[in-house]
Amino acid sequence: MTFKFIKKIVVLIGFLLISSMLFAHGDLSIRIQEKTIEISKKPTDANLYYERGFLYQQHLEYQNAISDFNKSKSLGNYSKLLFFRMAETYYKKNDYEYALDKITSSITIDAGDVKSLKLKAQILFKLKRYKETMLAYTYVVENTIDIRPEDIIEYSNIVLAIDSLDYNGALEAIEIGLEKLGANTVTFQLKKIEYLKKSDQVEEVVNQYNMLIKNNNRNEFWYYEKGKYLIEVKRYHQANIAIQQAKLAIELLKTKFKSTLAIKKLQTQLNELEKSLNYE
Amino acid sequence: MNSKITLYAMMLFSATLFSQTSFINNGDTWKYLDDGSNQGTVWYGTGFNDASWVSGASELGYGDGDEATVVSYGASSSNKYPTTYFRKSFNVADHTLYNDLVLEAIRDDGMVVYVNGVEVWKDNMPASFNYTTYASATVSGGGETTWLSTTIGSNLVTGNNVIAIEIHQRSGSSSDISFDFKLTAYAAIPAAITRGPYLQKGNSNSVTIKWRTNTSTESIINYGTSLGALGSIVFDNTLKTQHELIIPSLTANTKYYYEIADSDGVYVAESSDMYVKTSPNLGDQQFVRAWVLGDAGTANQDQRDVRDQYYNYVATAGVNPNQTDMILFLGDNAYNNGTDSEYQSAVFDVYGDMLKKSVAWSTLGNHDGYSSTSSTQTGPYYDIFSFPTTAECGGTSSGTEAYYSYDYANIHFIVLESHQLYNDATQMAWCLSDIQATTQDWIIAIFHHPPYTKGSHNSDSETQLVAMRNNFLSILEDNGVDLVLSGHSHSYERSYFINGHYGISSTFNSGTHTVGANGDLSGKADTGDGAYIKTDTDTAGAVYITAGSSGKISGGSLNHNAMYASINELGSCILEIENDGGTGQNLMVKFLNDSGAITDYFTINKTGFVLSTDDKVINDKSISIYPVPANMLLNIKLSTNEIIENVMIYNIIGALVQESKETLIDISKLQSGKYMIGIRTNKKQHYKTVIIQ
Repeated sequence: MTFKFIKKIVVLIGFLLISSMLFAHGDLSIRIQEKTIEISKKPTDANLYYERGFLYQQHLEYQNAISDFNKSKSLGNYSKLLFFRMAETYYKKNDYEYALDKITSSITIDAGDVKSLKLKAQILFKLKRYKETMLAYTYVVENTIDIRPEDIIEYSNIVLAIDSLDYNGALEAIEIGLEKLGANTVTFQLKKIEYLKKSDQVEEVVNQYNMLIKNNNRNEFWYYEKGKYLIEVKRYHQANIAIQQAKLAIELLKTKFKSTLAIKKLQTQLNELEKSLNYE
Repeated sequence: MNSKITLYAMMLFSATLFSQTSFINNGDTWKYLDDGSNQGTVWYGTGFNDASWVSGASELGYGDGDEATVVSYGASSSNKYPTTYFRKSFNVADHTLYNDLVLEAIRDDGMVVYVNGVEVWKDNMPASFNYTTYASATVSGGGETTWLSTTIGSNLVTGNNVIAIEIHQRSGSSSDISFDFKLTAYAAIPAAITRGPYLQKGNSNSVTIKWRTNTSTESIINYGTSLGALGSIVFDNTLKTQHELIIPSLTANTKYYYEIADSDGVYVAESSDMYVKTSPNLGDQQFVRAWVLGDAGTANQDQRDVRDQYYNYVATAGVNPNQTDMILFLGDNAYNNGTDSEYQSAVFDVYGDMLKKSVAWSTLGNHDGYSSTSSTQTGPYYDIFSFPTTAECGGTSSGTEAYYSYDYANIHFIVLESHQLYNDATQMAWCLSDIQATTQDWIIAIFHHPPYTKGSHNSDSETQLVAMRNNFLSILEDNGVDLVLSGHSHSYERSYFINGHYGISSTFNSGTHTVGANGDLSGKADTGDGAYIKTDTDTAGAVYITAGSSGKISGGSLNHNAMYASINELGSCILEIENDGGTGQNLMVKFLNDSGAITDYFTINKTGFVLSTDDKVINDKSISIYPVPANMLLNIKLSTNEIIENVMIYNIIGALVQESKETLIDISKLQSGKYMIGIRTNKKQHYKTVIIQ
């Protein structure tokens, strides 16, 4: 076996190792490298720059993404998607004025695109232009087919950003969510409690806890939360009933649930709560 | 004579059913307008005068060299016209002969087709567009010469008909466009399946069946518990190609065979290997087998080898052969971008035989996320799968298909979204509420990005992996999770029996982070190491599996300290839960490689499935309340030296519903349910639970 042959083998093994490492670590990095090779073969293809820009954006290399998007535009790409991605990238970079400029271009091409309008609302929110935010987001909520819990909660946050005391408005937003996504969507129920508490609607808070208690097979955590709240609003007798019900609910659990760390923590919390009640 | 009449009738019927006329063929001459102008909406109507447009034979376009007619892109090669227009007229002698139109086209890049002024087909174009709008994606390579096809209901008229088509460039600098077209009219196209059927959202009394057809047609499913006797039916008379039907009111734990039909008859016939097996009742203890596939979607022979080994395994299994209760996809189900066509190649073409009889569940992988987004719940992943959002299959309502839960027998499955929502407070709040609401014996969590891996990804440093570990593991572990399944790294890595490790690999301490007497061993029940153990009182401990090698392997250092096994092999996991011979159950996972060898396995044995009994709750040393459950009268018996002062009965939400000072209380007016009874004596206050029936 000659030295040259051995050298070739070593180089080949090295190449294979490097290749496998490249393949192994970071899909996005590999895809960016592949796209760069494509661009070197077709340097005037606007789409390739757009595609690499999007990969850069996903890889959190925002400046490189913007550079590629601009290059794509200079080569003739004036698509809605390009402007949307540019706006999205500026938004992620916290450059909200630039983001607004780009999303406006996207919406000019497609005035009814809920995805663009949602991003516009998010940008306007960051720019503290709340009334415009509200208009944009209202359209999104009303027209998005697959609205998510996160969208509704963001919508309610916007209501409060415009008027920090408008809890009824925020609650209306949550009700829209409950209507669209199901009356038992738990994140809305939690948010509803939060807003009811902040707006001092004590009876409604209690009713809300009661609904959660009735709708769940396990309710020890809800009894605890209810008891804690009732102490906050100085309804000590009711609080005690809730605490006792929490304790009895725990007793009824299978032993294996009683033995979980979460239940052990809850028992400690209940004891502390009960102790605080005795001081009142 | 009668048989002849029948025969003639059948022949006539067949001739009518399948008669066809080609009105437009490839190579035909078209009118076209290639000046980049804004033609608004009038141009595609039947009354538009296209006399000033020029004519040319198809294929029309520029830039590829294969065009019969080269059209203009304008003066600037870097700023080509976004839109080029095409029209063609043809005569129909009797439109009543035709019910379906098959349209076929070569289009590079985007296309919108109008028949007699009505938009009937749009491909590679955004929802709204005008003459400056570019196509949504680049068409290149084989896509430039591929004939696309769609079937629509006929809107032809007797006399003159007009087909109008606009082709949109991908960008001003893109090098080419292409266009060719065929139109064939049919009396009726016989429906044929092009995807599925596949099962979704199975629970103990219903299941969703989805499929796709070549033509718009009604959705009909005949079903029943015996082959040859499918006496029940569900249907939707809306004509469509994407079908989704829920079969309701089924019996738990029962096998139903089914067939698929439209108004012309059955086009997917019943068979012994096409069925729905409904979920067992909530909490039932019985044998369960799940097939776990991670990062499977390569659509290559490796993926098929892994599949075939499982098919062989399950067909020859010593226990419950041919039983696969569910398929668990761990994400990255279709490379490289999770597009609809990639899903066809990597999921439906590969697993079709299993998908028609086992319910499939999935979590979103990063490659699925390249074409689908959880922030809008749009894209092929969300179109293809239907997951519960309102606790239809048990668990707690999440309001989203991105993350959800479901119950099967006595197992609670929690499916999280780790690609885009790894820091999402709403998902965390839902996860906590969900896991704290379950009463199931086993808890299994699924998400794509593994909290522990040193394979082709590194959980010490990568954003989503670190975030999932920090945000979700304590929620899961504190509430008794047993098994966590992930993918992403293209290898098989399986942890010890661990709890409370939220740091990087080097901080893993087998002395403090493993659980039980043998948590730092293999968990192999048939060796001296023994199975991992969970009891009533020792509930901590979970096994974490990174199983992303069902389609390819990518190596890595594979040396995470929390892992008992790290194997760079193609394969899939088999999850089986069965009775342990006593009152408990064993959860077993086997890693089956692409040669059919099981190269790792372990068992978690869990005992203590017996419920707390009511009498245990109600009786203690100082007090007894009876009967259990109570009905008309409630007796309270105190220990000596205690005298009742007051008895108060509260309902489930803490409202006082009855008060007494007696030891025998008439409760006949109370509704059935769970109550708390508060008994104040001269010595102390007691609180007890009472069940009233």
